[in-house]
Amino acid sequence: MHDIADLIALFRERASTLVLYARQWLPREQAEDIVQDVFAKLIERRQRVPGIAWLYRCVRNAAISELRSTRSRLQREQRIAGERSDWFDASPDALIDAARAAELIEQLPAAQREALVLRIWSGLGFAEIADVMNISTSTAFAQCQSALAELKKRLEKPCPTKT
Amino acid sequence: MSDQDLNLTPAEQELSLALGTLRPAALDLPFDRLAFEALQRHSTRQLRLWRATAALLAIGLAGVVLMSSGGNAPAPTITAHAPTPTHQSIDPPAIAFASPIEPGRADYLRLRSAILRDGLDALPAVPTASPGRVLSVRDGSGV
Repeated sequence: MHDIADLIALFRERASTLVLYARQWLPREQAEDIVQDVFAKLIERRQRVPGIAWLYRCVRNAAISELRSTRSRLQREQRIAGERSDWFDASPDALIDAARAAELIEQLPAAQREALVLRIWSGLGFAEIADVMNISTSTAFAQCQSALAELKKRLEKPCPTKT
Repeated sequence: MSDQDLNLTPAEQELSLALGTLRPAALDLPFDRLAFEALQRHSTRQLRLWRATAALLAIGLAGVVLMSSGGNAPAPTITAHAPTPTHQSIDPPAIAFASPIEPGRADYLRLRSAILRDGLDALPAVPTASPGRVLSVRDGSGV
């Protein structure tokens, strides 16, 4: 992809899922900044995007690098935990409650959560997920499967009611 | 292992579809403005690169010109000197033979040779002294 217009279109299409992906490490504002930075650098360098997986890996690297550069990591993680309820937009078409899903996904182990986000909302194949996460395809599949099994188990539990 | 070989169970697929109905939080990122700014930075960087290249070329050209103008001086000649002989020459100095004989000295030499060959008779007759001529010797005082 060489055309700037194509790159802009790609980011328009993928921005929300890229930010959702980056929000596993960063709060919303910083996740948006990371995605904007990646986009700006690609435009500035007229970088060719070899594939969608490559784009997610760029965002992943930038987000992890940003996370490492921050001293108050614990505070940031606490802030992210407090923000996760707005991972998804509430929609009448949704078959699962957005806030409940975000809460359950938040409780998943990091690798399972990452694989699930890439699979469900970014639409990547297991080979692409493996490429992004630098793991084997079978491990990527196993992470997704475990995440879904865990979510299913928790969703089947009745919600704790406040008395 | 391809994706086709990795199949989720129907229950997992159902849950995947249900989760897929959730929409990630919408964003309102100004991509057009970001693209414009990025392209502007790109142009600025290109401009700086060209300026730096032009400056380097100008410096190089000036250096070449300076070097070529300094090259008008005659080129140094390389002379090879024959090795000096270590033995002393036994030839007599050539100046004894090269100097021309003065005309007066030639007369003397001729007369000398004649005297050596014929004796005093070879001397020319002494002219008689003329009465009007007196030889005098001037001393140091000028008298």
